[in-house]
Amino acid sequence: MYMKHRGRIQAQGENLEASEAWAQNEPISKNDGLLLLQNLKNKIPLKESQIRENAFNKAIEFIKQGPHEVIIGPIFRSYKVKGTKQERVDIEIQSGIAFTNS
Amino acid sequence: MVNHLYKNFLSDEKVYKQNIEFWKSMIFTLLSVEKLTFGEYLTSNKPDGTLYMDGNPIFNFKPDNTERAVRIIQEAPESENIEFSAWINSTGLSEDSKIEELVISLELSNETLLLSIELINAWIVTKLPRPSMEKYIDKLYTIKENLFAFENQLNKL
Repeated sequence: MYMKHRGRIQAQGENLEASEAWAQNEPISKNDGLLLLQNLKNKIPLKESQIRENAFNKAIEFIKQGPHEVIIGPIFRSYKVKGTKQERVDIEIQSGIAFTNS
Repeated sequence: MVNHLYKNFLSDEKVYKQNIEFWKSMIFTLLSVEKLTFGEYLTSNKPDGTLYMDGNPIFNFKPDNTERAVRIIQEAPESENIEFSAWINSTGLSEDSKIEELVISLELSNETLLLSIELINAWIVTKLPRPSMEKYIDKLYTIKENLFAFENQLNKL
């Protein structure tokens, strides 16, 4: 069944690929977005979470800046850990609106 | 010493827009020779119509009639290091349209601009298959790291 509001939050890297996704008929709220991010943080090894501390904080900031609305195409954000090859946290809003106030 | 370009792009809207135009012009120069046309595939504006001014990405494009794209993330210069990395991301533009993006994350300098152009050329013009492209990214990353290490050693002499 097609869901209007879809996206995912990912923790990626050379040896890591973890993700939390949403697909729903109502826009995801900021609180639920932050919850997904926390779930993602909890499910990866502590070491991976610690090196991404700054990236997670930037992702939180982006979620709090919502709502974000897909207009011409998806909205992608990648917060890379500086000095690493590709350790990062990604937010992909693939369709609809994400991170509303309620 | 790294010569950073558009240093204050995140705090000055005029500089930010000039920075976007700079990337557009670089990509146009690279692709027009190959007679390739391109357009943006990501939303760059907020719902109120104003630009996202976070450099994430600063520029994105997808050549017409291809499932490949490029997203360039530009960060504020924080050090004298050559800050540059890249990876390939598989994702969807819609439920039935998949793409593979070359994602480049950098602090913009003459050095990182050249590395970017080299990778974009390999991905979009030469159309290296994904495994070869990933090897090539690794190779350039290692060269970049070694170059910086040598430069540091020379500076200490």
